[in-house]
Amino acid sequence: MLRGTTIDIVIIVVYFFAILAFGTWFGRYVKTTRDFFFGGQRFSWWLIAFSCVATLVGSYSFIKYSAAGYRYGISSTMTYLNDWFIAPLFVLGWLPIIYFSRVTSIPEYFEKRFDRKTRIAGVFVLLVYLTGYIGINLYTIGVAFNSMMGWDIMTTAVVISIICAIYMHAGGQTSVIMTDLAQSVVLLITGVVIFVLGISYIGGLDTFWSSLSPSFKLPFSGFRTPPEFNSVGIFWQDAFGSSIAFYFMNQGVLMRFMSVKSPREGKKAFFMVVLLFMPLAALAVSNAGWLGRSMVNLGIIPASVNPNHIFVEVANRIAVPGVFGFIMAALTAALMSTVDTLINAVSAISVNDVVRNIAPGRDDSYYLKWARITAILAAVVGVVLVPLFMSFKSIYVAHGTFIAAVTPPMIITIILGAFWKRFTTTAAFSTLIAGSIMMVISIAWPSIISPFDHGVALEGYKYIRAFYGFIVCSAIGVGVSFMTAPRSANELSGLVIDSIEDAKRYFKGGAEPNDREPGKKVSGVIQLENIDGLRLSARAMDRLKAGEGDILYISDARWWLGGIFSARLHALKPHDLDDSLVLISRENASEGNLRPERPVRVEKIL
Amino acid sequence: MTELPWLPFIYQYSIGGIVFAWGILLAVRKKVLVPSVRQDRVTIVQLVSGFFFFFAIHAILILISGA
Repeated sequence: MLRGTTIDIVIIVVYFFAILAFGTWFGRYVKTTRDFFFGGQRFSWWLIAFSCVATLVGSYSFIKYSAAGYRYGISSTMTYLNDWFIAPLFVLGWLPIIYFSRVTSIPEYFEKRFDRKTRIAGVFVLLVYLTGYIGINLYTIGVAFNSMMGWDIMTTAVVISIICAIYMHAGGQTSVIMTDLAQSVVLLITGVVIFVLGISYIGGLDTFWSSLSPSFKLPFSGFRTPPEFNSVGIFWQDAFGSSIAFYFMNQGVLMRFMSVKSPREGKKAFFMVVLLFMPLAALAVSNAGWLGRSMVNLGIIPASVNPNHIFVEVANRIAVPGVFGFIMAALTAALMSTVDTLINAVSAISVNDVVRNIAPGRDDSYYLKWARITAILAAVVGVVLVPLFMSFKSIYVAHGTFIAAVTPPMIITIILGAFWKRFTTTAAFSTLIAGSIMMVISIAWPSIISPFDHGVALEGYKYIRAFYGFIVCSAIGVGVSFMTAPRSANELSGLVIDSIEDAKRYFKGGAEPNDREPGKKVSGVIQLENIDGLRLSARAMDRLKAGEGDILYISDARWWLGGIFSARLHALKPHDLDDSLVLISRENASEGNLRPERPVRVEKIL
Repeated sequence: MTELPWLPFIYQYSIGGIVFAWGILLAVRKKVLVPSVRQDRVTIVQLVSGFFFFFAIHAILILISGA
């Protein structure tokens, strides 16, 4: 067992408290439940993109992918480089649908798109998925710290959950986004630091590359072999299973994308994440394993090293005291970011889908109070589940079994619901229920998967189960749809890809959307007036290509604030004062944390 | 480890390519993307470029692996 030095432990403890203070500080900008869950829908694309990295790099990533990199080589990056296939469906379909129809959770979408009982089924499946996921992540945190620092698993899980719950309690989504921004930077820097130090330790890039075998350098593992890491199974399980679950179904990630100031910004954030940050993250989490293999081949590390300890082995070998603590802090960053996102997601579903239904029409502060209570409850339930996941053979088995059993029915229900207007309510409910049952059956009797296994051995069924799930759930959904009557086009308005323009009208309060010509941003200075909206000069409106009633976004001119100081308001009749004057009310300025003396920028949203 | 180095690549980009192309064509057919609008044309170019970006990364890695 490896333990850090005193300076390493000091760095980790300081990091914990720094993140706690950083997240809590942003709680002061939370004034409504919309702020708590969606950060007020005002953030810039780059802020959301950065904050996604810390969520994408899950708590298990450094240890899991370093071990995979050590065992299987560059192909450990497979799961990080296969998200682009779903890009059109996400940025052109799912994101605008949920953003403009103002749904706050997947279950809410299910009720609007289908009916109440489908919503209840969705709530149940999602809460099981999310709280179970919290438990797995807290368990992984405990295991990681146990192997590296010798700390007790349960104690670590409890401490981490308390820290996350405190800053979640204080600031909700804004705190999550801002802390994840900081943690993402730490994560990516750490990945590069490990790689640079490792290459230097080995003796240069040429030595590193030439020490690896040709098969180790391949970006894909074998099509069917090895069964525990076959590329065909991982393709179905990850490119479609995990990726669609992550972007379409994971409430925490959806809330990130719904926190952006517009779907156009969401598209930019997605592109940045998948094109730049995912490859960087793949390098960050895997390279310790590649370095480890190189070190073994060069005789630096004994071949008997445990692959699960390769991350710590390499980090401890290449890093001096203090740097090791920094690397540990990065690991902590990944761990905490995943947990805080999940806790916020459980809180959102609990309040929006349960509390609001039980106690409708209450004051916003009432729901905000419940949001904070459920954040703490989610953390507690996660800790309670840790011993359950400790009983699994490994973290990977616990994680894989759990995810594979839950995601395919939800994924197919979401995809068919959003992209096929013929998909009926009965079919959606049947897909969720019968699909889940079929997934459980496949766990009890794996032989049922054999017609779909592509020749993969039984050991690899935990991945190819996803393909089985997609086929079975699609068959249920499509089959039942053709036997039942679909809802009318009016009832589906704004909820399917066919009627995104309707969703935009709904978002804009019934007015025609104005987003074909984006216009240019205008700069100005706030002048407070007793109005409900935003007034610009006619020339500024022309430059924005905006008209009266359009939705405009006003933000502090300091771009690096990422939209923390901003507001979204309807354009009112142009004023005939100086072109640089932006007229808004004191209340609107206060809600957007905007100060009259600061320069602002205005842009058209819709 | 890999019996046919290019087989996973061909499989992934064939199946993935179908899903990817279906997403774009669906968006065009449902008028979410209107090719005559400049910003929509830019979006299509960005999407297709991203596809070939990953395609190229994987192809280059296979080629330089020496397998």
